[in-house]
Amino acid sequence: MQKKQIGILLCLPSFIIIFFVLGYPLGYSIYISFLKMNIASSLRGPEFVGLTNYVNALYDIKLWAAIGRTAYITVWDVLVGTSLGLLMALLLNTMLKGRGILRAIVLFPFILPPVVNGLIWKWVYNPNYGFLNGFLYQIGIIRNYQSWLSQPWTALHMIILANLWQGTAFAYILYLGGLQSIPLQLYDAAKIDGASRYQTLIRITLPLLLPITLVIVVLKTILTFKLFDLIYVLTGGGPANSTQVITYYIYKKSFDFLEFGGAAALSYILTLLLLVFVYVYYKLLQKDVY
Amino acid sequence: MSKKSFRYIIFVGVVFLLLWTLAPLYVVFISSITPDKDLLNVPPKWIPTPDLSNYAYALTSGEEGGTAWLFRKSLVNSFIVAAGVTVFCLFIGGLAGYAFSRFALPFKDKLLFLVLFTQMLPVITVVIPLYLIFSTFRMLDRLITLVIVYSSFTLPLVIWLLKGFFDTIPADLEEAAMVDGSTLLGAFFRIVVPLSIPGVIATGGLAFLAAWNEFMIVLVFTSTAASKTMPVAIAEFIGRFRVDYGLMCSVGIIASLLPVALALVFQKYLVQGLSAGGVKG
Repeated sequence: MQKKQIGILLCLPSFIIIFFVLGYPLGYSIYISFLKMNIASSLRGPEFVGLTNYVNALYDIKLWAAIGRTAYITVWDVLVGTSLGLLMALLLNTMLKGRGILRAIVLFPFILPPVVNGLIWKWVYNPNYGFLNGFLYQIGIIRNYQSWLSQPWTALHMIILANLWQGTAFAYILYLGGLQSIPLQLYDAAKIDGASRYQTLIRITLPLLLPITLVIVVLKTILTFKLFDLIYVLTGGGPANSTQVITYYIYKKSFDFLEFGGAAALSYILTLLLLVFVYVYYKLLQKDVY
Repeated sequence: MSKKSFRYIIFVGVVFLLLWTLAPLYVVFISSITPDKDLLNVPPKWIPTPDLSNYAYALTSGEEGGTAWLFRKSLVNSFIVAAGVTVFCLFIGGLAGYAFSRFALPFKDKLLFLVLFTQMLPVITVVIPLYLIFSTFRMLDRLITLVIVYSSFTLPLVIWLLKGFFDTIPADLEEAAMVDGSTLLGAFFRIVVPLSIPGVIATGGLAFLAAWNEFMIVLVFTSTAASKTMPVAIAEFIGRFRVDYGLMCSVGIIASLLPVALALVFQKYLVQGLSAGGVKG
């Protein structure tokens, strides 16, 4: 057998799985998105409706509201999450006692199951016995216990906080990698030239972290657009749809209202949206930012 | 900036970092060991009188079909699925990663794009067709279905990471072995794999974590205790109208022990895998 054939043979099991469980369903899903397929109400079975589902999506106010909401959560996550991750990486890259332990501890939130993250905050935000209420009450910021997840504005922002808490370490991990790849000679040279710590940070460290920052922003955007678990556990999209993000909306459309055709069309719109970001990311990688 | 004020800033930073990271974990931990009557204190008790009855109940008692029993059953299911995905992906992904590392394959430059695509793809886009397909074959409520589906999501990343690790091992070693009469697969399993054990562990750890934590697919696919995994069991528990908060917190902690242990033991490798993959698993 030729070398090339052996190579293909070795890849075959993987490719068969990927094709049948990922590739084929993706194609099948395009077909579904052209159907009117409501299992609950239709006795006639699926009906071909062409682009109707996509046209309907354009006029779907709830969809646009969900996209806007997701974008809003993403802006917070990118701005605050990336900055916090940078500060964490800068801090844990300096020599200090117990650095090894600290580096392990900051990973904890990130590796928790997202559902457990939901569990944690559900209890912290509890309107009757929660520790957020208890803490704010004891230091005198609030006079009465609040139902954080029952009011639209606070519910949305409490989701943002819980999501930030779990995701901070993501930016930190990538930044720490970025920091460790900066050649030490640059810092030695800066020291010889008499640069202060502040100058070194502004003139050397931050500019060299710019490429990895772009990567982090793109990846965080993709991840936040897929936010689902936390919403499901904490609010179920409520109150009054105030936390209904795009993935949750599509999930409800398909598995609560059983409108598979319409939901498949929406899922393709989301996929195309994210493909734009993946393309940007792919271009960034080709510029060799790592 | 003087040396003293620099150290002051560092100190404040560390304190803030610890508060931010540990405060929510501390709250859940103390709630899990607080006796039920103290848990409903207003304002809450910040330092509990330790009581392990929640853990004892979650791990050992409760009637069949009850909360604690369902939770234990789901933990076993989660372990079976995650271990299955890890072993399966490492095995067939390892073969593919080796092929990508050593042979001039025609589709070599497409691999990275496939990895990025599968990592970015919203799960909901695939869940809708997969649900319809598996329901016609009556395969929805089964552990093996979860293993297959999770594997297809994880395989591209596994192949990519393992290829990277295999690339660092010089091909001369295998060639020497093959000159001495070893087969290609023999050289792979006896030379390449043992030399890349750290990489295999990192990759396996990521595959395990991804399967252990996955929620949406198992939520849609499973309907009975026979195949529900831990995330669904916990979500159902929290969603009840009346919740035993102490038990809920202890259940959350038990479910997190394995990921946290993985992170502590394999911290270096996991971080390596995460930053190499660039995308959360």
